[in-house]
Formats: sequence, C-alpha cells, structure tokens
Amino acid sequence: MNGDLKVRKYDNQIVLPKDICTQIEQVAEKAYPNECCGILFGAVESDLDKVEAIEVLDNMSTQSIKDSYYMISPLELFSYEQDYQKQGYEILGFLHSHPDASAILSAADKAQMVPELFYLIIEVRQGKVTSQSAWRKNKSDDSITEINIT
Amino acid sequence: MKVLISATLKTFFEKTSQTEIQGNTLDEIFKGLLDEYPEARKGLYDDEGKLRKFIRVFVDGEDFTDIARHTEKLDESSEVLLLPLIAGGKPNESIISDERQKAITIDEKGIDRFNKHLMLREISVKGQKRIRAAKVVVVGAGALGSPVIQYLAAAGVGTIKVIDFDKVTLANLQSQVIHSSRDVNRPKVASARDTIRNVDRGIEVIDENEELTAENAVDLIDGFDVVLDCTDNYKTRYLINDACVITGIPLVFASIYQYEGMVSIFGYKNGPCLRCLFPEPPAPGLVPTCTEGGTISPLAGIIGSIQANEALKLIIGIGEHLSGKLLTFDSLNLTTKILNIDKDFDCPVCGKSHLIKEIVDFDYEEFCGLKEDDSELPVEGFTADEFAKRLEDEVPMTIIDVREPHERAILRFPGAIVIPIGQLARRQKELDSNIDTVFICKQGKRSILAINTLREAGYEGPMYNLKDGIDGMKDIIFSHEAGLL
Repeated sequence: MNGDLKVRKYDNQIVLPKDICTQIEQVAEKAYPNECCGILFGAVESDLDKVEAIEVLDNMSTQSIKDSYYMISPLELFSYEQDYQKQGYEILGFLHSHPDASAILSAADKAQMVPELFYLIIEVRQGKVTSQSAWRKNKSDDSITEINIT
Repeated sequence: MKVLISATLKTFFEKTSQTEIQGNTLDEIFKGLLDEYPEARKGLYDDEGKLRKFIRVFVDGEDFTDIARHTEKLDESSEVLLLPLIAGGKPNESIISDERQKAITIDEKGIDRFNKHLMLREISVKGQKRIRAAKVVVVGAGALGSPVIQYLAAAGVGTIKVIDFDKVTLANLQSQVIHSSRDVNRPKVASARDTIRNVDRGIEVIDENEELTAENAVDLIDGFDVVLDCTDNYKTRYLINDACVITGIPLVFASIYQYEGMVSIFGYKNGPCLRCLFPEPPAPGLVPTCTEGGTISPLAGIIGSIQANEALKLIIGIGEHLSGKLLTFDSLNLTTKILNIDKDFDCPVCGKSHLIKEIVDFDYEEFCGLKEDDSELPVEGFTADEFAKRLEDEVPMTIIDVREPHERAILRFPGAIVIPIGQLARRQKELDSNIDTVFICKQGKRSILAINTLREAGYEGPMYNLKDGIDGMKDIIFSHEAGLL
C-alpha cells in the first residue's frame, strides 16, 4: 500500500494507481483528435479518494464539436452509478481530455462543474498524453481548487 | 411522488438518494424538496433563482429540465430523477506560439505599464508577452478603428498595421475619436500613427495609406496574426473575409449602423466565415452605409471596444469568444443577443469546394452589384444642373423621393412624393405615365434601383434618375434657396 495510507479524504489529493493511469492514457490517445470522457469510481468504504475503476462513456456532443467539447448523457451516467453502487463503488469524479490544449479548466468546464467532485483533465498533444491535472469546486463558495494527483 | 437523486448530488441532500415528496407538478415537488432539504437551494439554484447549469431533471426517463415543463401535471406513479449534466470543453489556445511568447522580455517599465494585466491570473506575464509578440492588422481608421487602434496600442500589441486610404474630414470627428480637429485633411493613417506613438513608442506602427483591393489584400495581411475589419462597405468586407480565409488568419469583424452594432470572429480554426453568415451582400443602395445612414457617437466606441477585446482574447488564448457566434447590440433599447452561426459546407471560400482560391479571380464589383449591368436597359438621368433647369422652367414632372425618413429629415425635397422602394410596385398608380417621373435619393444609386424595380413591375411611363442624388444638388439647392425651397 506504499504511501497511500497517509492520504485522507478531502486532503486535496486524489490517488491514481498506475494501472488506472495507463488505462486513462490509452483512452485519451484513442479518442484523439476528439475529447474522451468517463467516470472515476472509488470504493464507498475507503478513507481515500482513490480511483479503483474507470468507465469510459460516449461523448454526446454534436459530431462537429467533439474535438472541443464533451458531454455525458445524464441517464447513462445514472445507470452506471447504480450498477457500480451494487458492487460497493461510488462516483469520485470524471475524466475528460483536451486534445492539443492545456490541462487547465476552460470556461465551459468551470461553468458546468458539480461541486465536491473531482475533474481529471488529460492533455493530449498530437495524439500523445503530455500532462494531466485534477480540480474540484468547493460546495461552500464555488471556488475551485487544484488537486494533487498521487 | 418518488424522487431519486444521483449520488453525485448527494452532498446537497444530506446524502439522501431517494425520497418521497408530495406534489402534482415539478414546481410543487421542488418546493417540497427544499422544505425538507433547505441546504439544497444553493446546490440546485443560482443567484438568479434559475436551476444551475449542471442540473438535469427527468420524469419517467423524459427530460423535464426546461422550466416550461415544471407546471405540467404529473402522474401519481411518476418517478422524478435529479441528475448532473457532466460536460465541458477544452480551453482556447493562443494564436501566438510559445516560442514567440518566450522570445519576448518585459523590462521594469513594462512591468509598471502593464501592471493591471499582470495582476490578472489569466493574462499575467505569459499573456502580456503574447500581446507584445502579436502582429495585428486594422483595416479602416474610422469610427470602429478609433477605439480598436487605441485599445490595442494601450494593451501593448507589438505590431499594428493600419490600412486606410481616406483623409480626415470635419464630419468624421463626431465618431472617429482617434482624430482631432487639427487632423482634418490629413491622412487618417497619419493621425492614427501619431496617436499610437503617443501611447507607446515601443509599438511598431505600419501605416498603409492606400485602398485595400483584390490585388493587394493578401500581401497586406500576410504574416500577421489577426485582422480587424473596421470598414464600412460590403465590397471591402468580403474582400477582407476572403483574404483572411485564404491566408488562414482569423478575422474579427464588426459593423455599426445608426444605433446597432454587431461583432463576430470569422475563419478561426476552420470556423464559419462572413459568407457562411451572409452569402451575398444586399442590393447596392438598399442598405445605406454608416455615412449615409448615420450613427450615434458612442456606438463605435462600444462595438469597437468589444472587437478589440475579442482580438486580445484570441492573442492571449483566454475566455469564450465569438467564433461561430454573432453578437448584436442595440444601443437604443440596450438589448444584446448572441446568435449561433453555422458553417456552410458549401461556402465558396471556406467550404469543401474551395471555389474561390485566389481573390484576384473574383469580381467583387459585380458581386456587390457595383458594376453597371449591361443586360439591364440603361437608366436615363439628369445632372443636377439639368434637373434644376427643369424645376425653374416648371416642366411638368412627378418627383419621387425614395430616401429613408431620417435622410429626409436633414433635407426635405419640396414637391416630392415620398415612396419607399419596397412600396413602389404597389403604388405605381400614383405616377402619371403621361409626364416624366424623376427619382431622387441621396447619391443617385437607390433611385436607379427604384427605376429598375418599377420597370420590372410593368410601369411604362418615362422615368429619369437624378444623377449623384441630392448630394450632387446641394450646392444648387443652397445657392438657389429662395427659388427651390
């Protein structure tokens, strides 16, 4: 379990195990030049914000803007939420990629953020993942904090 | 009624994922929900009391988010779902490359001068360096060009090219705030250059005191990062649009008329262009230009400032911009709208066909209807002197004034019947086909359109155009004042 145990929930950290990281990179590179999107799941019983599984979803944006926007169907999201709940998982947050753009929140990202959930952004340049970042909007005042990825 | 709440929103509902709320409509259910979970108000609604952007409401699998559906009576056995809409997009990237940004240094004076930009997290040092590295073309140093040039200079844009063939006139000073009364009769580019120099000597100013044409357009803008269209006529607007699409340079477009203005960005990253929005210009003379139609003084300041702001956002790479959108502003009623523009895949310039590859091959004069059409019968006309003589000799004739009400308010033509072009065909009975009819407008162009319109409608009486319009008669009117007015 190396250093994971030191990380507690709400310490502004999210744990991305190596195998999950690799999986995310593959998804983002495969979707390039379009944006990919998906759900990050963690174990309900865990004290950690640790990603245990991901589910990649269809980008529901109009075909012509798929390279700059993503959208997840609310009903599809809910059905995954319920399926995973039965196995003891809960939604920690979401992932999406920024093809040929920086791994920072865009105005559209900020406007659409649901408070208290993690948003993982994968920067893909010319088909290769070059950087990633994670963010969370705080429930109390809608301020946004950058989250450490460990 | 059963209400299911996604676990992603549970933080607002004390971790509840399912509850039972009394009510027949969504409005009633929301009210009950908020009574039970007062904390949820902040989570569900924004400061204006609207549902927040990321909230979606489904009833039995159907999207009921639209507020119009919140008063619909629901079935007793319905199931309400409160879900999040997870969405977003990538940030805009700067049109200035990192290499160029890094090559710029900001000295101590620069830190002082641009302090208020450096304070903004989104701009900061990197953004300011991008602004300094940027090379911008402003076509037109008139009403829109005035705020555009001044704000781009103040913001610290490194290279500004100003293209304008015109000289400053007294009438320009009402809206063209870059020029002063001392500049009357000087080339507009000269006074624009002086203004930029007075703001910041570090800016490279290139002044082009010539008209932008199909022959020189591409050469004039090639190698620049962004073009701002501050012109007032359709021919140049289409020319600039086509040259920008062909060279791949984004174009920030704006136009003003009377109390209204519009702004858009064309040809940015394969986005729609002017021709996607307006495939062709209106018939010549039908829409008066700013010079003919007039404009309220501060309008150009408002619209031009938005235009400069859009250009700076492209340069810095921040915010949401107007590519694929048209912003319209009505200063009289203070209404603003943002309309979506779709890319036209059949567009001759930016569409798949690429029909227009070289702008020198395209006839802009003909496209904008500025050429004399050989196929149409020539329109006979009187010069100002000939017309004045006929008036003096009291030759029987009907005079039809096709100008707009605001134009007539400046100078009413005595004895003329007022008929707008749109009503001519319907009101042709008011003309006497046994005597001559003379059509008058401001510059003698719309009157030709009027004559052709009536010909098409089958009117056979003799029709004449007042060449050069009322403008051409001004001297005679004022010198013969007693006789004519």
